Amino acid sequence: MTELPATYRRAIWDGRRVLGLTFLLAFLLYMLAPLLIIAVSSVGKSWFGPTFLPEEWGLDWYAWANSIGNIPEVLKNSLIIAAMAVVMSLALALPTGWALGRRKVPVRGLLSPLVLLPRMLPPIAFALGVAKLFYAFGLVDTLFGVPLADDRARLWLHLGTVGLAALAYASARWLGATQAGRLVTAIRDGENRVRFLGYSPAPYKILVFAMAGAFAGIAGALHTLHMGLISPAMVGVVPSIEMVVWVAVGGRTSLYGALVGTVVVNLAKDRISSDWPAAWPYVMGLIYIVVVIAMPRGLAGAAARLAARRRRRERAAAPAIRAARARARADAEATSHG
Amino acid sequence: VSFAEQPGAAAIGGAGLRLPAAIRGRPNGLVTLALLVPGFGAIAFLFLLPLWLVFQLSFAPEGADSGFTLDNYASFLADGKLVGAFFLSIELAVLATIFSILLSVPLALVLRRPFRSNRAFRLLILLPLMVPALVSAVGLRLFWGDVGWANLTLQLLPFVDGPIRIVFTIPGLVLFYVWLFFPFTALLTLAALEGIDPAIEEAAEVSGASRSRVLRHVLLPLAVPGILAGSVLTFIESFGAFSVPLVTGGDFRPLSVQIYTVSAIFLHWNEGAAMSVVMGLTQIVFLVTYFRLLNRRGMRGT
Repeated sequence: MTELPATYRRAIWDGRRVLGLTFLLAFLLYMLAPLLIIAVSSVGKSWFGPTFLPEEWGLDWYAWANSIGNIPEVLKNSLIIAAMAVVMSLALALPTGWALGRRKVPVRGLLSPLVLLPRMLPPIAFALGVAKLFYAFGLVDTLFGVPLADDRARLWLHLGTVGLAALAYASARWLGATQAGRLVTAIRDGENRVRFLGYSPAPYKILVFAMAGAFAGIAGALHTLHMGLISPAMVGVVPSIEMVVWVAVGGRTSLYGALVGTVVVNLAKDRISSDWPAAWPYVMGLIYIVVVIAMPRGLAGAAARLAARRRRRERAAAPAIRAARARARADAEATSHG
Repeated sequence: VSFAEQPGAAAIGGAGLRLPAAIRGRPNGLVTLALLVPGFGAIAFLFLLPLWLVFQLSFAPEGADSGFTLDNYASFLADGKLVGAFFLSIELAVLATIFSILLSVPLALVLRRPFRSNRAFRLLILLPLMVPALVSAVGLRLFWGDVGWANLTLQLLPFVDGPIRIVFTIPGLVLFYVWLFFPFTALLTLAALEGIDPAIEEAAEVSGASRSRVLRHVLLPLAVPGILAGSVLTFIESFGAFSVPLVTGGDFRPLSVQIYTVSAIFLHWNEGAAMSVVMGLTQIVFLVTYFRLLNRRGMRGT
């Protein structure tokens, strides 16, 4: 590039500056004017003619808007909805972001794009589905107090129950893995010993009982929805014993045992009480006695014992298997070299 | 390990319910799962499930929830107006994307340099994202309308007599789309330009390149990934735009508005669902092509 005299250079520089300023000014007008015109027309009286500004000014439109709808009420609703949306989004986004960003997630490559997917499709493309879904939920909403007639609502209820059970299991499992959980186990096995070691059992017991109470509360609420109605008989002694039997059958010292026991005992109850309605309490008592005598640790304990026995047998057989493998490898090498 | 750090130390001190320190265990897969469940549960129920419902609905006979028929797609394709809406959507989105780039690149080049009120202009870019789309639609319609400020100013010119129709035309819609959706392109273009190492630019200038050559051969090629990434977002938003064409489109109804008309006003839900599926698939095809392009450019750059 040849060197230009200083005057020309300044002229070009000025020209460029003017161009830049014009561009910015045009941009400013393009962006602001459409919003400004709303503000201006809101304080003008009947401004429809071809003039740059309204001929008369006034707050008539605001008064009119206030007369047709309750503006503070509408604004309040908008704010409440916005605040709720923010809180809910935070509640959903924070754990997800934390888990995806800070923790080991096996299928991160699959999950991360999934978060962005809703932004990638035009909202109208799935708006119909959302509308359909909300109609379905409209049915679900009527389920408090009304017998469940709709199959889909039932399906939702069942799915929700399974989900909450999984959640309860996961949280109990998580608690068990923590230091506090170990202390809880220790308190179960020997509270006095724990106290002598210098721990106060009270906070841990409060924690566990609070959690158990929360589970029971959720379970009770779901039970009402499943049954459709609750009679005073539910307050009697049989339902309470039944819950103890679920855990005893499943296995007192195992978390999944409680779930298995609940499913097994309730399946049995369903079969037996449909054939002999009066026999169920006796069968239940019998089950309880048999379990306590024959399988003190319930189904889960029995399964663990079986697994342990198999592992022991495998461990006993391991040297022989290893030797056989080594021999086979040596043979293969010998043939490939030969 | 000091006494206070030992597990349960708080409990020994009789401090009562200071549990969190003791509860904090080792990283656990179940905790990760519990953290992921709410977010992805919401995505599954509020996005994937509706998507599936739309898909199912699009193959169901008229008025039914499930079943299999291609009638909905057939009646969509047989209606010239609806197919026209499909192409109008694409046309508007492509034009809006192109003009957003044409606006964003000079804007980013100007804003790259420090000057007074630079920050104010940066905030101005965010304006369309902050104002509800419906409000902006009303403002745009007023401003560019037959007796709006834009037309009144144009009529001051000697060779213009009578109002120029802007609002219910395709150029007008493109103008509005750009106003609403260029921020995505502008922000990412600006970020890409500012991310360029000044040393590279200086090296080009020291080597004797003129400003236009620096722009053409150094700045723009390096900013292309940012421009493309931003324009993808502009394209997505323009393609799915709903409230603006509803208010300012007049007889030009893109696919989004037609879906609304067909399903919410004429109550042909199944046909609306079929159109939704076509729209979603088109968008996915566009996105895949775009990202392919983006990746290829990125690879060439390195």
